[in-house]
Amino acid sequence: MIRLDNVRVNFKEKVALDLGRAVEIEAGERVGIIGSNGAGKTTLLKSILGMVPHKGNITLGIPSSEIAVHMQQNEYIETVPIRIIIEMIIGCKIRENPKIVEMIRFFEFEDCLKKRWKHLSGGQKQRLTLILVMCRDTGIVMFDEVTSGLDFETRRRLMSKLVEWYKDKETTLLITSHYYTELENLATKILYLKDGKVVDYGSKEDLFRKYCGNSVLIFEDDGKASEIAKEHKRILSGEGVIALSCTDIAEELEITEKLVRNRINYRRSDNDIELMTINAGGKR
Amino acid sequence: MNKYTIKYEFLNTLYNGYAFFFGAVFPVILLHLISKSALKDVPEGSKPEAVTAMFIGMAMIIPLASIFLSHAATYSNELDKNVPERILLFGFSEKNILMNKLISNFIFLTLCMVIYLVGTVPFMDLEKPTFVAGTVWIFGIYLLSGILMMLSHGIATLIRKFGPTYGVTMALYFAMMILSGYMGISVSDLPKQLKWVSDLLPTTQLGNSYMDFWMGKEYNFGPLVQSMLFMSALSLVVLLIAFKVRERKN
Repeated sequence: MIRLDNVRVNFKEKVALDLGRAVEIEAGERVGIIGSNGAGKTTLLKSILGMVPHKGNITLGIPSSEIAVHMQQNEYIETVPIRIIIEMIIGCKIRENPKIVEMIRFFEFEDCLKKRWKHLSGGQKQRLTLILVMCRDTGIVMFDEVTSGLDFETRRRLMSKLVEWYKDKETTLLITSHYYTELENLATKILYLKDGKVVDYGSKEDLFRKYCGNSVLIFEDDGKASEIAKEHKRILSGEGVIALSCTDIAEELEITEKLVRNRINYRRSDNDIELMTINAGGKR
Repeated sequence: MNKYTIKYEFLNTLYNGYAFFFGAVFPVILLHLISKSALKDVPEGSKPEAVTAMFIGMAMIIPLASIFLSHAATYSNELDKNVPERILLFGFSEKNILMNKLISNFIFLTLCMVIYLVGTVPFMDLEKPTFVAGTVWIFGIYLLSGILMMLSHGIATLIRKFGPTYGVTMALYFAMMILSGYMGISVSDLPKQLKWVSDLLPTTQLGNSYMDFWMGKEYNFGPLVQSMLFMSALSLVVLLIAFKVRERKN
């Protein structure tokens, strides 16, 4: 279990992180850490790793050196082939480690082993660290913006591979991401940070119910849609979009019928992290 | 530490062509050039002793260039790009990293020493050392290399930037070369205060009066041991401060 007790990080005068409460992460939980740029997501991970000085208490079930972590920026030497780097980190020949062989195959990385770091593409660079991080046998794994800088297709494939790999494992995961949709399949709990403070922390479902209701119907904002929205509970949503909160199935069916009769296309969700975040943060 | 970590570090060290040139090829070329011109006025009977003195002195360039300067340049370059930070996050310790680099640098030093010996000994009329003097000399070079490695590792870890680290180590390199009498001014001609500093340097003790022991004459080990102890303590302090400043906080 990880316990973060009033963790506070200052960079000179600036308060980068001030949780202001205790956050407990049970073994095996998958926590998505969300928030905009400068919210303190990376600083939180770095304080857990002991890479930045902090106040407050951080209790980890294992030494911080045993945490496997994929940082936003991961650099390696350019003077040796990738194979040499991998063998140095795993401490044996690649072929002697079935787990790393599986990971290399899993990420289709075979052709990169003879290359040097500077000759890898952005996606290949991300995959190298992912391979090395994911094959570490450890109780806690952290991913900091693992898909940043990647194109949509590569991001999608990477995330689905992550979901598949950790599907039946008991690993505790901490994942920060700007792309909330990526967390929907991976995270079970959400820690929402804003300006270094905790806005809320809890299970994905509980937070959604707290800020959005039982379910939400989302559709484009136009004349007829606005009329329907006036009759129901509207919550904050993105620009040009209406989101209606439903307290139960009866209300959901009632709204749905109106939307169908008026030929309005809609989307239903009961776990939209982005919508939950907008409403928890109180900003459109 | 295992053969894969050593292999990684050795290939990384080997990639630095400047280290290979200045640590292995340059001392050989320089010794050949200097010995030819400097021995013109030396009486025939004293030539072997004079060329041996140059041979011993020139060998000091090897640890200074191939270890001290090379390691500072290579490691600060890595630190500049946060490579060691990434390695630490894979569970390696600062000590692991240093030990792997130390062993690989010793292998590189051995390569440089072999090139130096092969490139000079067969072509020069050198005085043969006593077995003990030769062994102590080789041991001294490795010990000095280890000390210089700690110092350059500490400096690089503290500064973390390639440019300033290279500047500081280059200044120390030239200071050691000048104070040890390898840049045209002999140690005996140095001002009193500088002579005092010079005596504290293993590069002075291992390259100048060590000639007496080489020739089987009476030799006082006190200054050599003292200089090694001084340099070890200084390097260790710099290294420990660097580790303390950069250590993980959890």
